Amino acid sequence: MKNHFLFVFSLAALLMVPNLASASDNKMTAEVSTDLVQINTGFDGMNLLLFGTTNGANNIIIVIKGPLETNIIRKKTRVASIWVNTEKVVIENVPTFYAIASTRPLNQITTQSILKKYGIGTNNFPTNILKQTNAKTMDVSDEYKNALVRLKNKLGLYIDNPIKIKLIEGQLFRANIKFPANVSTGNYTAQIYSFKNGLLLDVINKPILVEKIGIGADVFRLAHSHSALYGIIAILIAVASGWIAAAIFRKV
Amino acid sequence: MHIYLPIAEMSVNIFLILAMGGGIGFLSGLFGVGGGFLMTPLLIFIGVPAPVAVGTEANQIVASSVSGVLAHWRRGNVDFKMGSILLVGGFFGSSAGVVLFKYLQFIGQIDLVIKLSFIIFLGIIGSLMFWESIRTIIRSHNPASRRRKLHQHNWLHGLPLKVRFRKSKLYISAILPFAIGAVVGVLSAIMGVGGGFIMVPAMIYLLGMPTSVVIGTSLFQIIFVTANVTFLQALTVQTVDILLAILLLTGAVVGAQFGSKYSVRMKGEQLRALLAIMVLGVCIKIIVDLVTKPTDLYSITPLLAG
Repeated sequence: MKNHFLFVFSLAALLMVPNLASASDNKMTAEVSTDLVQINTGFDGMNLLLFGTTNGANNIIIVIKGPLETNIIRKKTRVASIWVNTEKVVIENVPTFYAIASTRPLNQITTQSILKKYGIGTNNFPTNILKQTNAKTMDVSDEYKNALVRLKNKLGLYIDNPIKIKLIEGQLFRANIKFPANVSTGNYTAQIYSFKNGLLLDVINKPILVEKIGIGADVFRLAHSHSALYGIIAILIAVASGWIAAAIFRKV
Repeated sequence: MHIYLPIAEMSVNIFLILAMGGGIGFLSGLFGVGGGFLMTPLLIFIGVPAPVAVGTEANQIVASSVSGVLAHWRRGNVDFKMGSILLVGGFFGSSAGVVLFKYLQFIGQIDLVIKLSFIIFLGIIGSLMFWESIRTIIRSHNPASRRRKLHQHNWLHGLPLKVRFRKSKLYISAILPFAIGAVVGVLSAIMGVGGGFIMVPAMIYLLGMPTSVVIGTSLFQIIFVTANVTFLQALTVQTVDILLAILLLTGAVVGAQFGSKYSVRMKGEQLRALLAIMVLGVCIKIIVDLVTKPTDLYSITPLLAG
């Protein structure tokens, strides 16, 4: 609801500024409903609204990428009738979060080579596959990359079936992207690409910061900066709660 | 109503966690087991990362064991002398276990080792207890063969360093409880359990302790071993989620009180038969999981720093 009000308000603001709407200026404009996602104790995911003016472009693609991490993908095979992890690869430069939104299916917007060049789509972002142990086939990169995307997809961290971007009278666009509750903290970027007749017109990068706030953030910080103290506090809380419960129940 | 867990980095339903804590706390008070062997797999099942489940569960067991031991202490059912020797062994074992846990996690076999350990220990102990308790129940219906010795004497009673344990009515070597404590300590750190389901039968069948003091004594030593695991996991891998632990233990300490009250009304052999059935159930479930083809052959883990 809040997002909708914001959207209407911002659209009105965009339309009232004459130079943004002028067709001769070949710049699109884009804005994000918030550039700061705060994870507090009640955090259960968040809707992010992206909107702007197309300025003559007929297609828009939005990519939201989380900070990069290194993942280990393991594969199970059958050993003596039980399933055991036997093969593994290490994949570097994996975005912790990846969401894509577009006005129509990606292959109808532009060519595969352009998508590849800009790393648009889960098949196209560059990763670094490090080492393969016990890999029997010659090249297993695709197999493991597909597994990575599938597993992240299941966790709700990759949205590779593009979210529909709405075009309003060919001038304005808007898209709603859901951040799930299990997003990592760090620096995210929203990249907005505009295309006309298959050619890339313009790119806008918008930073989004995801951070923890409140008691949860304090707990996390204490756990990592003063681990020993944290461990002792955890034990004391447990002992006290157990004692209190026993004392309460004794009187009942 | 949802709450965001700062260490597990996920959002959970408060009432689901409270209910899980309450249910397992009840069983914990009833049988004198920490309930970790049920709770850890359950936490992983609802999506908590395995290392966080193990570290947090250890913390939660501290609370339910404190709550449980006080009830048994008031009834004089704790052998502190026996418990102290068990926990010295437990300290050594659990410290080694935390190191082993890190190594197994590094080579990617921790899940397999956890599952195999569960199958072996749950399988053996479940079958033994089930068989024994059924025999006792049958015998109690047949008063002709009722008389029994306090405990059987075997080679274990020939070991040196003999100590008298008045409460347990035993005169045995101190090496025995020390070794049992150490073995259970290792398993406790690796499997994310208090180890009561191994400790309780080991005290009954290996040491020959009377059932009445077994549960209280086991809870007493579990407090210290799980506190040690909590501390070491918090220190080395930062996987103890205090918020999750508080939610779990709120449910668990309440459940444990009802459980231990209820356990007084039940016969020892009936309790053991019930526990045995539960232990075997979990064991069979894990075997089925290991031999059936997983829905996804691949799994993903972030590379741990360092």
